[in-house]
Amino acid sequence: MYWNIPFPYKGVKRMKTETVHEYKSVMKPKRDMHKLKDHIGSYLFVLPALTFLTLFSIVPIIYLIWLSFHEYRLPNPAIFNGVENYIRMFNDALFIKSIGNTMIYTAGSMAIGLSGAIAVAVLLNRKLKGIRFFKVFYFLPTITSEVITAMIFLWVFDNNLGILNYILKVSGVESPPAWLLQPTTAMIILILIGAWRGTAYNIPIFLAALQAVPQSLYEAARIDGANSWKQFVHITLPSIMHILVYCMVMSVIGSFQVVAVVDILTNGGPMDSTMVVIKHIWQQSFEFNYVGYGAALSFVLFPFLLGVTWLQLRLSSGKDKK
Amino acid sequence: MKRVLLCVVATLLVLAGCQSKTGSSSEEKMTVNPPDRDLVAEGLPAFNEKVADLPKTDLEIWLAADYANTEPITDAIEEFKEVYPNISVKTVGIEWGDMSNKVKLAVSSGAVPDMAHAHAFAMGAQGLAEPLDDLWEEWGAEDQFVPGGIQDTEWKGVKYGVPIDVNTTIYLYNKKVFEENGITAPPKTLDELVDVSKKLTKKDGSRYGIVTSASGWSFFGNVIAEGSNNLKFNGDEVTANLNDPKVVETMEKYTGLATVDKSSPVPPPQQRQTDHPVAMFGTGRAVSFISGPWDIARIKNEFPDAYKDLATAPLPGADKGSVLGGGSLFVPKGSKNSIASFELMKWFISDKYGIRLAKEEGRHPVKTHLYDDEFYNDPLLKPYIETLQYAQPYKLEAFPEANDAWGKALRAVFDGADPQEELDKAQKIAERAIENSN
Repeated sequence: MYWNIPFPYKGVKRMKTETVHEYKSVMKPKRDMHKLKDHIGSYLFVLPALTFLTLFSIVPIIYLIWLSFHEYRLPNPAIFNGVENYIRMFNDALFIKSIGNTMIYTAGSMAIGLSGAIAVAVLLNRKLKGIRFFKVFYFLPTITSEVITAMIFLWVFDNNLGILNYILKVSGVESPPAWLLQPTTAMIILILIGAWRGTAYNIPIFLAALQAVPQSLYEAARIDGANSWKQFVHITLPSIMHILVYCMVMSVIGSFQVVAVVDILTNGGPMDSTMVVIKHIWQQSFEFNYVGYGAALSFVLFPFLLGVTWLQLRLSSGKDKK
Repeated sequence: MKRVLLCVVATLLVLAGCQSKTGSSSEEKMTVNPPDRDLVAEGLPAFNEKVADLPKTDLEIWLAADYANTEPITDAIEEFKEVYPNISVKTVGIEWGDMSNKVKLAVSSGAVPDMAHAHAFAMGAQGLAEPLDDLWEEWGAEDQFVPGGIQDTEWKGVKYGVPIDVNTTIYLYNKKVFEENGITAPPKTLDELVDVSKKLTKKDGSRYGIVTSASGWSFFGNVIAEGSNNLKFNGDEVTANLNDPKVVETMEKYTGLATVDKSSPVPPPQQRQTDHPVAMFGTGRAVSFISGPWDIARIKNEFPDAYKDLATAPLPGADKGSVLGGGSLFVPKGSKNSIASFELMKWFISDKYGIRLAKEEGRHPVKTHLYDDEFYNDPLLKPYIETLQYAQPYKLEAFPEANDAWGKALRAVFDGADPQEELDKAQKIAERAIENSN
């Protein structure tokens, strides 16, 4: 067999097989050394980020898993207790309630938030006069701190001093509802706040996706007689489906992390109707000092969120195939 | 390349091993002589030879943020350092609400301060404080203290700290509005309080007879005033008593002021300035509220017109007493400087600085004889001094989970839940929390 010796060995004449084998046995270590030097260089470049990731993500996760199998109440040392924390979790009615509350919050804020974001993005995508003015303000809810947002909504919905009830009283409503003191209305308000922030966050993402949709598709649809709604359903939505799935996944993950707004607005009440999972975990770990139990609760969230994400991806890929 | 990698790893290991130390002492000795003055005559603790014989010691003390930089405290520290030049003091101010967690973390990490400020009994109950019985015995001053002050430092018969100040809750009311409505005396029982509050409430909502609070600590004062308690003590044994019939009845009547009679606004879930009881009282939107002497000073400063019509009375109830507030200083577990730290605590509550804390900061003294000072001739403070003798510390704080359940139960009842049901639930949680802590 003859071998073509590639660059940088151009100009070298073809050699016989045995010679080539000999050649390769001499050249291979040199090539391996060269590859090794490349690899070491690459690893050195990623080493800082890798170190950071290891120290602040991977090591804490491993420690969390270890803690979840221990009873740990500061300042006493951690004592191995097997799966007791996990058994306790199944009997923790408040944890199960907090998961339910968080799922309700997630579903509500995601549905309203993403719908709102798409609607606003579609509007912003039009060449209307003055649209640049609004492009500046749509992101404001996201850049406003969660705590400030919660304080603002507190002063809107407070039953004694809130502006909403003031307007209602002036309009003739004698006993306006105590919005934050009733379980249903308190959750609705939290969902609205979540949706408000989520809308603002997702608008630029959807806007970028919409701007990438080829105009020729819309022109062809117009020629075929499709109205705006049909264009939206049959062109816009399928074109941005991958972005929509991404935003849904991020919304679920973000919603499961909500705590500041709940803390300020309702503190988990009334009657634990707005107790969310992260607040419950924080309370168990840091207020009640059940650090091991809190670790178990945190670890259980991971497969739960993974499952929800997988389900979303499955459902969306099923729609894509259709 | 391998050498570079090895250097990087070695550097990281060295940095990971670095740990800052808090209080410390060296072997360096200093000769400390007694000062040429009578410390006791000046209202200070007597010169302590043991402290003077200590090697050079650096104390780190954690005080509540609103105490740390006050003049009585800083002056006390300066004078202490003059008398004991072998002891240096570093003060750190920490938010009261954060103190417990910070101490927990400090004790578990080993980097403990030498003094901290919270409720010593709660810290002792959670294993976060050093017992100080031997130092108290050596001092021999226990009988000088307000009984409740000592109770704030004790858990299961062991003293874990030194009380720094005490307070309790009383009934504050507008005597002018009372007179205008033909009410000649403040209410003496809870039922009278309900009736008076209803009478003084205007139907258009422009004025409430009383402002209630959803604070579990404050409500505990009403429970004590009714002759009950949310915990039972049998020697060292502690049992939950949250759903005691007396407690349930008290909660029903107290929350009924807002939920049934509408004599009070329903307390908001958050603490705010504008519908704070003081603000409502000061602006005439409420006729009375339950609070402590700290709010007397506040009304005087912020609402001087309302202050002219202010009167005070003991908490209305079937029995005497209320909740004991204030705080205590303790030595976190693991500190090696308890002798120096305890001495500094004695200076903070000495006659000289104890009365200064009261006059300048509204932090009332823990020693009984200091209430003979003419400062306490103020008629507004008389009910406070009377109640102090019967005030009980809020020991439920030793069990954070039970404490949370108690507060949640009160909140839930204000939001419309049944008191018996909520307190039964809270009782179960408290029983479990006490069992887990044993």
